[in-house]
Amino acid sequence: MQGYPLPLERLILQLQKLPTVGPKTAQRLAFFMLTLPDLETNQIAEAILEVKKNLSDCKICGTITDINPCQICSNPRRDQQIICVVEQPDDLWAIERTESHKGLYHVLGGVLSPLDGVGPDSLRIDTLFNRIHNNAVKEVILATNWDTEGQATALYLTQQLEQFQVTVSRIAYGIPVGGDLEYIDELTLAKALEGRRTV
Amino acid sequence: MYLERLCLRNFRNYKECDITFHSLVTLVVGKNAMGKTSLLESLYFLCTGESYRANSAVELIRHTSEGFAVIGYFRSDERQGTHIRLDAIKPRQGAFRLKTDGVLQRRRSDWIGKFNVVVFSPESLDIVKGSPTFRRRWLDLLLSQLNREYLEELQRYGDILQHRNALLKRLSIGKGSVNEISIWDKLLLESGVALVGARHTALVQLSGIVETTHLSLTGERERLLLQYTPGLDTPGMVLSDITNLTDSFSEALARSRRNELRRGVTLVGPHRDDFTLDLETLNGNETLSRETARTYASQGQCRTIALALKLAELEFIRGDTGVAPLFLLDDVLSELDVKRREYLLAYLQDIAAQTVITATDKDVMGDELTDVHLLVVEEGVIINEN
Repeated sequence: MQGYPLPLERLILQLQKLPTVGPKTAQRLAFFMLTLPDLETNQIAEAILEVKKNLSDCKICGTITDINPCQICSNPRRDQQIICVVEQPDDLWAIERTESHKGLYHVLGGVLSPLDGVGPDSLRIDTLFNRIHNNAVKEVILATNWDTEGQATALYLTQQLEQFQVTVSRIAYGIPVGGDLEYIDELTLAKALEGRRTV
Repeated sequence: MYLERLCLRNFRNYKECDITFHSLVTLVVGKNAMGKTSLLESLYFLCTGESYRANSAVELIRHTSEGFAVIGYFRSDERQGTHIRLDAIKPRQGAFRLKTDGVLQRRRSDWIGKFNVVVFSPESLDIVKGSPTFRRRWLDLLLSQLNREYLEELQRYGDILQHRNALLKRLSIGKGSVNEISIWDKLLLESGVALVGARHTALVQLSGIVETTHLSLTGERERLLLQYTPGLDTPGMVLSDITNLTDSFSEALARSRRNELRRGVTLVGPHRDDFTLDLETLNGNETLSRETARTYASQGQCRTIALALKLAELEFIRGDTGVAPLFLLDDVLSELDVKRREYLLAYLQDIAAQTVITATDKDVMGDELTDVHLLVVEEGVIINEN
């Protein structure tokens, strides 16, 4: 059996390194790229190279940025007294899109997960404590996920933050806006009931 | 819930099979290794997504075929005879899928418990004689069928336990920080207390049913006592009191801390739960002796105990849902003496539980039941029906 020409074979293999891309999709993408004009393939290739070359981790909050410190950390109009702690940069943007957080962020770069060998030392926790210690931070919002690992991380931070004079809060969890009660799963509804507020 | 029809494709030794059920009691008769048990196994799998005999679903695929399908057609009398179709599909490559009326069910907790089933098979004796794992599995599956939150809590507890064990293992070789362990303690405690509380409530209720059933089965000559023994190793704790339970669990964790750090594994918690089964010999109102069933009961006594547990399970589900679950009797009817068999069949008829029974001989039923649908199986094919 005659396989693909070597350069094509190589491209297909490389594309498979991407998440959600299997052999079939990689093959389709590779053949699609063959039909593109040179200009466009150059643009794709350059964009991939640029993203690695020009982006770095913000030295303050740890998010991905093209200027350092990042747009948010260097913005004097943001409330310097509130830090919202998230797991990953994409969580930061999710909250940013809500336009309801006027403070700063801190990206942990993961969650506590002993099974995967991730302990507090592997996360950006020390830098968070330094920020709180050196700046007049009043409140820390813990916005890790509501799964086991996210909960464990929030619990750990709550315990460790007791040494500082800060208010620690945890994002609430419950019914989505516009959510119909009858379609919401029992566990979420039970949690929402537990966390009810007087109006 | 009434099973009207069952279709099998490439399941165990069945290539194609289509059965319509038209009596409350179905008797499947055939020689050994013809596929009687596989038929029950397919029904059990359809309702629970698990086999009570095989370790993985792949083992259930007929050799040389690419996957199996089990399709059940149910009629729900509680809902004015609505018809529901349930498809369980397992390809050799790829994940198990379950559909209700053609709609893919994403999470196991979304469909488990809609179609309840109780099986009494030779393996049921393991609940009496086997390790605590068998008793926990029995209880967990029963409670998961009835309470979705229990199932989710069980899965959460399993996650936390794995993380905690991984951390203990790292700490035992001098890695990681001790600060971390208190976090996992807290999560383990919260989830563990919920599980122990739910198990306690269920076992209190079950022990009552078990005792009554067993007295009837033995003609008031033996009393079976079921007692929950949580894996917290704290005598004198009050299981019905959440605060007391939390404190006891917390103390137990503190006590075993040194041992845990040395061995790198979580030593206390509901993953070490068990329950004891004691047998009292009675003479009228007088108790002659009391023994641990696991070590002292004879084979016949163990079988009666297992039957009492299974009937209690059935009654528990019926009490909770208001509907008798599907009851599967795998090759055990012939092992019971006439009196117990009569009691069992009369009881099943009494509560109108749909029952599927396997046996090597059709005379096993005696004359108690008149309306029995007979299926004769040979080499994975239904060769005769009446």
